Amino acid sequence: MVKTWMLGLAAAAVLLVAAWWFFGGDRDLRKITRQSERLAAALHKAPGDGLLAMATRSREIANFFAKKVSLTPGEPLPSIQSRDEIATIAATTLHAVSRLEVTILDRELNWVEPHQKAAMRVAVEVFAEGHGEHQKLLHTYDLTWINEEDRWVISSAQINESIRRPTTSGR
Amino acid sequence: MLPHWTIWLWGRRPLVTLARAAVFGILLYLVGRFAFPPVHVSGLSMEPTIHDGTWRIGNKLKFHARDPQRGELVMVTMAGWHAYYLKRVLGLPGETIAFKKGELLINGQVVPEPYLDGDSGWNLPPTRVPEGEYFVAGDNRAVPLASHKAGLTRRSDIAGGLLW
Repeated sequence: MVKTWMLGLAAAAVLLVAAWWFFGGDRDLRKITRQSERLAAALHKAPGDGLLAMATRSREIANFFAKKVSLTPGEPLPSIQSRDEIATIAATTLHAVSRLEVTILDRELNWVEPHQKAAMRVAVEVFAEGHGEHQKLLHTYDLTWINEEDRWVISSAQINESIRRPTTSGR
Repeated sequence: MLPHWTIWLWGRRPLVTLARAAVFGILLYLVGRFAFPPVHVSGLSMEPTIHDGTWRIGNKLKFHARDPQRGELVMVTMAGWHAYYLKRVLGLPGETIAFKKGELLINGQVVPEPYLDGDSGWNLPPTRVPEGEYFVAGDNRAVPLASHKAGLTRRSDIAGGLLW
């Protein structure tokens, strides 16, 4: 016959494994993961969002990036080299669409230099609506996260598609 | 003596039941992670063959022993192991692929595509598929090629095919 204390021990073991699963691992990697989720949330626009909210949001988006930054987001956006440029392009983009949603579908995160620099490959789904049309795009980006003034920020980002368009194409 | 409902829930030997459940859970995770992942289809790229919002079962073992062939459906890596592009192989390594008014041409010969629904207006000048790469595209040719995620992918980025 199984004693009650044995059941309790088994339940405690299951709880410990569950706790390790949810709260264990590297704290910095979890912080980076949370930052990426916050950035995706900041890149959100609902139809009713006003101009002031968008201006605040674009500055908030820029603050997810390092002071020295290099972004290659892919067509139609140009290469970006500063936070100010990020804020400007974010404001323009948010202004141009009536609705924007960025969802992280998957990510892979590894240390380049432990607790200083990390590489993240992230797959995102972008849903944009404007001028009566909507578009859903899937993209994969390589992001470099660095620890700057005790905050995890993106120092570089470039598009990295596993399906590459041939050099010439058309309808 | 354990109450009746406890026996119904845990069996006569609860620790053995717990161990069995743990082993079953681990096996389920390993099978889903490395062999046959459940795939939730998002997007219209593979219409009319595979519909948006449906569930399928992937097969990561499919191309371990052999290479993908033309016409087969493949899962192409994005990042991590939760999300994949679902595409059809059209061009094999070393071949020259082109589209002319929607017709697929491989090395200059028209290749029928029975899985398509209606004509497409796709045009693509002859493009050589490099060694170690494949040309993949979705079945939804109503979307212009410029807006469609189609093109060259490395063999190493093909994570598997579909079981069902």
